Amino acid sequence: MTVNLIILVCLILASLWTVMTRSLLRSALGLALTSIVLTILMFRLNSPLAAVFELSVCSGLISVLFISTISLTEPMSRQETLKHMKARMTRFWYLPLVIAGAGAALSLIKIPLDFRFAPRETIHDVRQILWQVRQLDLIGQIIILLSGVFGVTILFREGRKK
Amino acid sequence: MILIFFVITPIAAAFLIGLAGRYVKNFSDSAANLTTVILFAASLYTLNLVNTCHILVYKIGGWLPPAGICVVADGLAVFMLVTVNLISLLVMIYSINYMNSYTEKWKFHALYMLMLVGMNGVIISGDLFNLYVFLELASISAYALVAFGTEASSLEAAFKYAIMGSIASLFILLGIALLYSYTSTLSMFDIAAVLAGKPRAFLINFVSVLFLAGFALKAALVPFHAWLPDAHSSAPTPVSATLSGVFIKTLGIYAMLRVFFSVIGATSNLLLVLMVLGLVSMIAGAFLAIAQNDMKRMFAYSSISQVGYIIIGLGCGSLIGIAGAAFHLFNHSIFKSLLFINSAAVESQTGSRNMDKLSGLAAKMPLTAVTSVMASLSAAGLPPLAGFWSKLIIIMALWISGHYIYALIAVLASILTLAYFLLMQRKIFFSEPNQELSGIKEAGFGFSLASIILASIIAVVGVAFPFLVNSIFVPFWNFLGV
Amino acid sequence: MSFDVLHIFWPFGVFIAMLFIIGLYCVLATLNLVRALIGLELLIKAVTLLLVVVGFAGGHLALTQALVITLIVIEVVVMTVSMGIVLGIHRHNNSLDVRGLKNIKG
Repeated sequence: MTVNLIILVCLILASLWTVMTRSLLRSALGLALTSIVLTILMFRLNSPLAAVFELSVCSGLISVLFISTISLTEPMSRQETLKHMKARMTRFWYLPLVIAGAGAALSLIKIPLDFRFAPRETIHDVRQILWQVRQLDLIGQIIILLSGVFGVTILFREGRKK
Repeated sequence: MILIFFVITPIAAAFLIGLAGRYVKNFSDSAANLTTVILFAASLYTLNLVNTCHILVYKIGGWLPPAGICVVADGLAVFMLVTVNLISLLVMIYSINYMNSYTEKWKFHALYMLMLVGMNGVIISGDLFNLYVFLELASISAYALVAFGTEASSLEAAFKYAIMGSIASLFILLGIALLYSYTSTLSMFDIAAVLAGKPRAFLINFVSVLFLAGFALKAALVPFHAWLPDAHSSAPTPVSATLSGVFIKTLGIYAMLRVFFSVIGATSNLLLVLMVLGLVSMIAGAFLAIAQNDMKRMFAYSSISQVGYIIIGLGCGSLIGIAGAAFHLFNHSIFKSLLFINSAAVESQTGSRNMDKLSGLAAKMPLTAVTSVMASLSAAGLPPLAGFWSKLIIIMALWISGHYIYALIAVLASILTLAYFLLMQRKIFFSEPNQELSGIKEAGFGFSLASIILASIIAVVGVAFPFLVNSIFVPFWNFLGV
Repeated sequence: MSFDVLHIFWPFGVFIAMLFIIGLYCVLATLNLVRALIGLELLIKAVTLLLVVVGFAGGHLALTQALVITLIVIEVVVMTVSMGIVLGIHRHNNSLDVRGLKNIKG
């Protein structure tokens, strides 16, 4: 449990850095870092398959997406960045305090959690759950990918006929 | 078995359009129209089926809950299926003409089919996580469709909508995950059964707040409405008609109704919150609509106001209130789609939707003028059109449950509705014709056909309502278990 | 249900709530389009963690892993489409600043 708590604190620190750092590129890297910390946590919580997915897709693919978007859109000039940084600090400096306060308040109050956990499941195989039991979810995933493909291709064309 | 058909058919159509749409001329039009006709017929058949056996359940692959997924159709779900597929059929008919001004029309049809999959899936799903998957599918297609014109305004509206919509979906998913942790099952029936056996915990109230925020964002109730006017006014008009007519109702109101009334159970506090949200949306939407001079923006704000009516009907919590809300949902889909079709006809003929620039179109586009007058009067609730009856039922439900002030305000908001629609009619159709607008004629065949069908539905439902009462009210009894 | 399970659930719940607040704050307070998407990512991370913890506490790891994988696929598609929209906006007005969005109003 202690190790878990340390990893959770790391997770919050990484996400705070993601939000508060001034350069967009570092922010994207911070997101990848958050994702990696989350992966370790998921692995410790006995979810290896989902952890691998998180590692390869979220910290790999999504970082690539973010970084290519950032490099395709031109970076701001040096002076503008400095001006931006000041404006950002006025909006973001109290966020760590808010988070620390919220964390302290939440850990002090105790909400009664009378969960009723069902008996342990009969199917232990993730593959069977994913491919057979929850077929409709799988169809949904495939269709979402298809709509993503169509959705991205329509964005890079001239909309109206001349 | 027929229920899966509602998901599979549009998927197949989307695949086919994706394969052949680019190469075969007019293939995407005909495939999309054919699909929606088939789906509408299937929804009527399902309505007939549900009338005899009350509830349809199909277990996908034969797997049982908690892990397996069921699809379920009861009276309310079938009613929504009929509404959604009817509106998408009519939208497809008039987009034959309208979408010709855009490039790569087949992608529009493919995405529209995928959005239809999402909406049908949300309606029939009996599993909370599956509901979330279809909700996201419909939302992603809608973000892309709003940006279909790729002008600056539509891209910005799509971005705003994407951010707001994703936050809403995440609130909903958070609620689903917490409910799952509390009950260890995802099936709606099982969750309801587990919750009924326990005293109401704090966690359930927290989950209700999350669901309320998520669905109110999806349905654009007033504190959460900021995305709707932009998205609806800058999307292509067939998309606006669908978004306004059925999309926000399926993803927002129907899913909210399903979750609160059949799964969590409505408490008096929740009903009070719904009433207040509905009241605020009703008033604020109507006042904001008066100030607009863009036709589509005005209709978008009017949608917020009418959704307020539906929510206030739900907030009564009584059978008659919910029945009135569902009936108003149907009527609103019909007249709002008709109004959007009229605005598309006006825009495609004159090239403008600014109400200050348009004038005297009644003589040149008589069909458009007549149908839009009918839609406006139905929206304002003038007898004997369809909108009158649904508003009457909602106001009666408010009066019966003792909310006299709410009933009075609902009547006043109805007068406001009449005011802004008459203002619009006078500016666009019944004023002195402007010299610049000469040589304009009625829009194409698709527009006329769709608007005639919709206007006749308004008239027939309105006039024949006293004879239809039983067939409209009866399906709700088995939903509520009365 | 054992004492152990609730013991593990509550600390995780606190951290999930903190992560959610950070993400929501980032979406609402930022003036940059890409940063809004990063905030959205943090929100999704919080929900992913919640699902995994729920599965661990209740002993339904197979089901929750399937749900998490579905969620990750959805997340990627949402991000791709919204990044396409961001690139489109950038092509039109050459800036990533929210204050540059002049064409939309309230």
